[in-house]
Amino acid sequence: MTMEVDILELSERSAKFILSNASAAFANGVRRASLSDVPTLAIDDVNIYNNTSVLFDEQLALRLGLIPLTTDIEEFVPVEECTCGGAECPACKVSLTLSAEGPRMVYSGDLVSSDERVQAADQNVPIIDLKEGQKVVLEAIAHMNYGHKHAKWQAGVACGYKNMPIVTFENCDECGACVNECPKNIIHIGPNGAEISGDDILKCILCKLCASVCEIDAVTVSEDEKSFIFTMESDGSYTVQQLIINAGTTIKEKASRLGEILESL
Amino acid sequence: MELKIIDKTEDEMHLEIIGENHTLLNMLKSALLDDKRVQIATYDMKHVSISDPILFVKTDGADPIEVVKDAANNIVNDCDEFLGVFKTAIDI
Repeated sequence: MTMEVDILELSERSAKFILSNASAAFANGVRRASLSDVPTLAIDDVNIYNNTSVLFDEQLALRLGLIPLTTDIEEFVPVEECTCGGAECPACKVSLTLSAEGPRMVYSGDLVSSDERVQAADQNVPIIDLKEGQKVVLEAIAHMNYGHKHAKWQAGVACGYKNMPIVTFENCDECGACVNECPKNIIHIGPNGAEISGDDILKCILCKLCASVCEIDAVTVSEDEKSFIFTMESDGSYTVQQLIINAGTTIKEKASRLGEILESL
Repeated sequence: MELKIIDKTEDEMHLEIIGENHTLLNMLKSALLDDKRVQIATYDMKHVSISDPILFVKTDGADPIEVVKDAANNIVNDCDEFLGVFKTAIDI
């Protein structure tokens, strides 16, 4: 059986799709890869020239690190994998500067990047509220790395899946108990007893309350083990399409590398 | 990624896969179990972030290295298939 993908919702940052005829291991691989194995840029080193704000340098650096930066996976590589051997060339580092004087709120959009492809993904992330006379002048160095090193390099946020629910009604006596019990309000009484119509089944959370409340055991709730409803969200470093494609490519690269090494043994 | 064969007989192998984690190993295990020649396939990671996983494979007599290689190829094919259908789906 060949895999199938059915897109339910798709925007720049988030996607919802059904992946069918895939194994649970594969679905979990895609989820894990998009959370931790797709590299992205994040501020990693900060040279602080002046900081008279109320935040310690370390706190400021942490806040800067957590700002998502737009990334082109083709153009950058993690420092450890770069051909420069850790010397930090333009392929593995990007410098951004920030210079602000109070009174005002400093936002992520105030970061000035030396590379126009690398910008804060959201312009409105508050960094610090400067009061009268307070000043922040710094240079921030962004490096590429993986989500399993630190959450700031996590390109995927809120990535998950659930199995496709299967709810069947047999010999329903139309008592309506399951209709009232369902927390998602997706069951209604149709011409042949209780039913769930159309895409409403996707909202089912497999809580099985309908089955437990049915006195004549007319309701069965199960899940399709080969079909998954995915919800993926990108932090803005990539579009969600790129994130999912990069996740698939990462797994592919890992597996083919393993095959190559075994071949050479 | 680096591989270290900890021990190997005709039908069994302990293979340490340095630098990898559950992402690849769980898929590998599942691909191995789909193979009729494989009797046991499992892996162990002592600690989730500091240990390297050790894969154990027991076959019905087939070369364990060949079996793992085939499993890796199957994962590559799965990824190609997924990337193919996903790219077609988003082009709409």
